[in-house]
Amino acid sequence: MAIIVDERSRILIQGITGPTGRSYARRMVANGTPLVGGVAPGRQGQVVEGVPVFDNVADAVAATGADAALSAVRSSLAMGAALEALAAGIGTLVVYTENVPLHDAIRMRAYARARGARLLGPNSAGVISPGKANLADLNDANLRPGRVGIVSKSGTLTYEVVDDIQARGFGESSVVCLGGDPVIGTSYADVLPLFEADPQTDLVILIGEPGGRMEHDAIEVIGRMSKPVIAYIAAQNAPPEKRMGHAGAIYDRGDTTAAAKLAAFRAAGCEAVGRVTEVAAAVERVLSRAAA
Amino acid sequence: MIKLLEHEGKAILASCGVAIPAGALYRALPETLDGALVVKAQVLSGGRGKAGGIRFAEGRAEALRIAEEIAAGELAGAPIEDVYVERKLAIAQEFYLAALVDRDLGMPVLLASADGGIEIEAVAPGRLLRQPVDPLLGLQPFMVDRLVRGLGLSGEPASAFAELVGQVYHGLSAHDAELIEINPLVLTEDGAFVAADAKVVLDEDAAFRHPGRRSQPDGTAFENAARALETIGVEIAGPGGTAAIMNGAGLTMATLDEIIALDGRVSGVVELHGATMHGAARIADVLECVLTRLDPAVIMVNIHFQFRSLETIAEGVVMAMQRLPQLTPERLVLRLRGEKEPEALAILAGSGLTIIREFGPACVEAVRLARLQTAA
Repeated sequence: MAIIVDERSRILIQGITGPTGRSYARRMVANGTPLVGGVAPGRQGQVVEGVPVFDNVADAVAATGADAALSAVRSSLAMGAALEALAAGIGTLVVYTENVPLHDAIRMRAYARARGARLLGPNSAGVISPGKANLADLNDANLRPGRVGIVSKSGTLTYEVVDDIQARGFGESSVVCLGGDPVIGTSYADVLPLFEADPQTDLVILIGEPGGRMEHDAIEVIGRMSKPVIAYIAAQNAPPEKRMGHAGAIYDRGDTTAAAKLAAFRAAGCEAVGRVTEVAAAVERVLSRAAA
Repeated sequence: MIKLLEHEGKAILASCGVAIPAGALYRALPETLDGALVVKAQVLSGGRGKAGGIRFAEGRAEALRIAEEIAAGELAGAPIEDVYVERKLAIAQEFYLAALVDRDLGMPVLLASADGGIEIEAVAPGRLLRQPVDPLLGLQPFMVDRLVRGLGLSGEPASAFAELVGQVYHGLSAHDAELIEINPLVLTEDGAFVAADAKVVLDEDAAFRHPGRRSQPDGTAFENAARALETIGVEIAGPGGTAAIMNGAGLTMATLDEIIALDGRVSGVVELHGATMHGAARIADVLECVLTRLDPAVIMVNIHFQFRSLETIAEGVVMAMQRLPQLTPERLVLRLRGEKEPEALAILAGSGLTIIREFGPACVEAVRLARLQTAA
């Protein structure tokens, strides 16, 4: 098992003929991710990395049976591409594009929910089940199959955490990046139950940020889980009302600061840390406690 | 997140069809604007009234005199951008109305209260109506009706308020705004709703749909220069500490936290953002911007790429060192990890730079070098 994507996924890349799309295609094919095609309007009939290119998602789905897509189109086109993929029946959609307008994110999120589809992003680093399928900007070579699940808003913090836990001998079941924007399609509370139900996951690392209440909502779900969850909340020292790169990591009210979120996890009895360099040790601590 | 001044926000409201009092900036005050007037400091901070930023005047001459006084000062430490003069309203009742994006619901929400004119945080929870609007439905009559009845409105004001709710709701998406707030929303003695104040926050990411509109939030000179290079710079403690350049928002936040946890001082941080798409010369530009505008003791370049190539960063660093003689190995710590790492290290061979692969030790080294620099 694994969650959201695995070796049976059938994957499309939207924007496959652009530089980012081509890089993704190359990596997916080289690492055995089940890429079945790509979409680029006006490019039907071309072949990229051995997979066919289609003018639109509906034709691509009809020809390939695709059920998942990664969208790497530019921000002004992101909403249209997402709505098209969802309308064509794509069930798992990663919107990798950054700087998507807020009202566009609202519409794609609403439509994904109405279709019962899983939208990661906008501004998501993607999802990967190591050794099975990679719809993420994480390099396959840096991950290895294992029993830790990761759910994160940040791609680059996920890189750090993955490296650190692997240095201590752990691997990952699946890694899910939600996206760094204020309005995103999927929350921690949506993903945590999937890890709880996944027999290959023993422990979950939740990587959070200031801004919004998504981490608070996760605490409620964690209270009903049997598996341990370790929370790492970044930006303990970020100044208020400043965009730190993620449009979503802006806080203004009391309990949406990183410090308040860290305190809330601890108050709920959850292992929680405020430095990325503390995460791997916490994993070791919690798992050895569970084994004892 | 681009916050507008009151008069800019009112122009947006007017374009949505919302009534605003006749008004103008004081330097362009028309002869026709006379009688009972309000003179208002244009500042981005809240609590303007209490701080003396709103004063009343009888006639144009007095308004101009007060405006000059306000313009010459500052307001509770905040710079005054301009002074706006408008006609005073005959107030029957003050309401509150806002449309905003609720990030946790992932949809627009309308907020309304019959207790306008005070800060919204001070309104009793039971007196604040909250109506989410599913974007797939759009604004439906039942939603508007709930607000109108909840405020206890009937007759002419009820239909006027219903129309206003539609204007504000549609204005939110039409202008790609994160917030449109009217407080107070004045019901005048002759039964009209007029926006006595306006707070509007625009979405910078939607600037491409609104040619000509301001697309950058207010920042320090360093932050504005960083923006011009398509990076996101945040000035923190100013000169003399460590300035750190990262790829990705998460790594940026984590580096700030780690250096502070090590008792270091952070001058500022830069998230490379779109700059990574523009080649090595742009990376050198970013280093130059940080060095000259933040004047840090030490620069840490902390890059972990799993998609793009580290060669661009290495070439950019070499270029910057050639361009900036003051950028010596004693002032520069590199943490490079990921794609094309050996190739990047080869480019930097002979540069004399400290290159550390691990995040934690690299932060320790940055703090150590900064201490040496400040002690020297």
